[in-house]
Amino acid sequence: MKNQLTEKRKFSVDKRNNQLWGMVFVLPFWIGTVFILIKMIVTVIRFAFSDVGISNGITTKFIGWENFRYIFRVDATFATTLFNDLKDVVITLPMILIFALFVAVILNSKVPGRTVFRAIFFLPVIVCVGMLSTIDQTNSAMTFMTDSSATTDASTVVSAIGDITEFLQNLNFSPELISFVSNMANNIMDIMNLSGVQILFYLAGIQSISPQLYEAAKVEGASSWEVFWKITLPSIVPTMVVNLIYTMIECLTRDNTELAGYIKEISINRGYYGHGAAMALVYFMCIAVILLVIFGVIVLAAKISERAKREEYRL
Amino acid sequence: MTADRNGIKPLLRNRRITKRRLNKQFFIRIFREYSVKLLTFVLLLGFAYIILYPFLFKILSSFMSDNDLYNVLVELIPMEWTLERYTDILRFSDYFKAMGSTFMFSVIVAVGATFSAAFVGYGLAKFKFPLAKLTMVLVVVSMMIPIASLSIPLYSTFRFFDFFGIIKAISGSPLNLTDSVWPMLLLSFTGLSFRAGIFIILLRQYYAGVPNELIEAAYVDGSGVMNTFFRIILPMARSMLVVVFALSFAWEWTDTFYYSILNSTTGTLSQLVLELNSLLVSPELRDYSSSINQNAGAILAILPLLLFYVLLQKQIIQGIERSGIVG
Repeated sequence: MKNQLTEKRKFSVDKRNNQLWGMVFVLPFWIGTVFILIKMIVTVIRFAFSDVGISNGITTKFIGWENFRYIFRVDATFATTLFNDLKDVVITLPMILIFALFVAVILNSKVPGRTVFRAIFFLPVIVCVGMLSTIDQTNSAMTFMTDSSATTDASTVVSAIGDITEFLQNLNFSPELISFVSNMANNIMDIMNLSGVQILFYLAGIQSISPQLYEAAKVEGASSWEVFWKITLPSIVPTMVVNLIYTMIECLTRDNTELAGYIKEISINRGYYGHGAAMALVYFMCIAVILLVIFGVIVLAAKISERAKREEYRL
Repeated sequence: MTADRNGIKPLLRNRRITKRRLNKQFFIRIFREYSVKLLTFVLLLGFAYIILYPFLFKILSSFMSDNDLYNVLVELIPMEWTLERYTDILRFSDYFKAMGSTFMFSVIVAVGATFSAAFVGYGLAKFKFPLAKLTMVLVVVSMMIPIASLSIPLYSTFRFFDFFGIIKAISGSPLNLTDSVWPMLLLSFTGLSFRAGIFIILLRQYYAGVPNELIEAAYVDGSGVMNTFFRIILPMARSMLVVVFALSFAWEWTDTFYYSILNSTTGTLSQLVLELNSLLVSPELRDYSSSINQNAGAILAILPLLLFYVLLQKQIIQGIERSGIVG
């Protein structure tokens, strides 16, 4: 993204005029940012450091770090909820990336009805975002039905996981790998619901690879397995970065995480706005740290690969 | 097909290969090709089943009578079909009114998100101005803030709405904008609605692929900036605009978060569905039958959305694939 921004020549028919028009085009966003977004962020920070009372308007009294001490020392559920939510995100992230890649590679082969499958895999992006996922979290009928009936539904898939885990254990795979696989199988519904857009991005990435590469590989006698590892995967690394960023945003900013519900309950239902704001701030800081770390890794990797390329060129 | 072209015809011409051997090779090739195809097809079918299962379950269980729910033998297909749940929902709740207001909100937010993404994306892609970089950073930051962590100020901002104390100076107290369309309207038109940052980036990437020469040619021919934008750029970006419109429409349609904070009494479809939990059901059946009712309500609520998706499915998917955000 950044490279394109700097490399693309921006035209200048009339320089001053052009600058003005650019500002006109981004004006709506600036209005929103100044009047709403920044105001909201400032409010969260102000609330987090003060004792908030709501009676006839909002009154705040500065109390320093008191709220933060409360949520970590006194509140029993906050720390564990935060930790679980973040752990979930970190675990599901690679799962979504791998699963979406897998599906995209399969969809790219000549399977009958692939447009229909593509439409089905994208369906959750349209339908399952807000309401349905909220309902399904508390859908007692669904859990009851799937638990009691052990023959022909998704629960059978899930109940087979125990056997697979045991099988893998007998084969002496590392426990980390086993737990990763069984976790993936357990959360298959969530993962599929979250990977609709990523599948499309991967498909676009795969289809932009030049077919001559594949033909050459075929002539050289490479198997499909080798073609995947040596051609497809290296060529879609940029797509993978885009997908990584998209998935991060999707997972981290979801509004129906456990912690989000807890914050809403604490602040809006029970009226402890200060505690809620402090929690929100801590949550945001954690996410910012995770994002920064991942971005740092991406930038570092890009730099390293660029340097390697340059050295290759020099040779 | 490929087996035909590469394998069999040359083999037929080669007389030294006996018929039996030919047959064997032919079958092995065919078998290999079709078994791989079959395997991938079955795999995809399995994944599709996992995605569709919740819908299938919701639809079928919503036709079950209360007896069926407690019958161990009944799994997916109900024994006694009944329309009772649907008629109950339509009778006891303002389904059509809720659908009307949901439709209104969704259209407003979709138009707003499309508008802001189209404009801001163009400004970021094709113009050089002093704050361009900062704007880009702010778009990315606004995309990455978990909106749940802003739920309190979201409420307080619109409950006590004010521009630097101007409104308070005029009318004595800040405006209360909650329970109206204003909050969503303001948020969407300023590019702050649900995942609006992604839409802006999506369109920015698309515009970046539009050749500058085209725009310069329009300028040379005497077309102004706005004229060029509306007459040349926007028609080109139509497929992307459809994507943005469709996604923001759908996400607003099923939204629960913004409604629960800003419009808690408006009565939209998603709120209606969430409330079905306690409506319609006598307390002793509450836990179980109520969630079946909820399923029926959810099916009713997303039915228009499904139709919408079936109609626009091809354009949405192709739009995202060709968005130019990848490669």
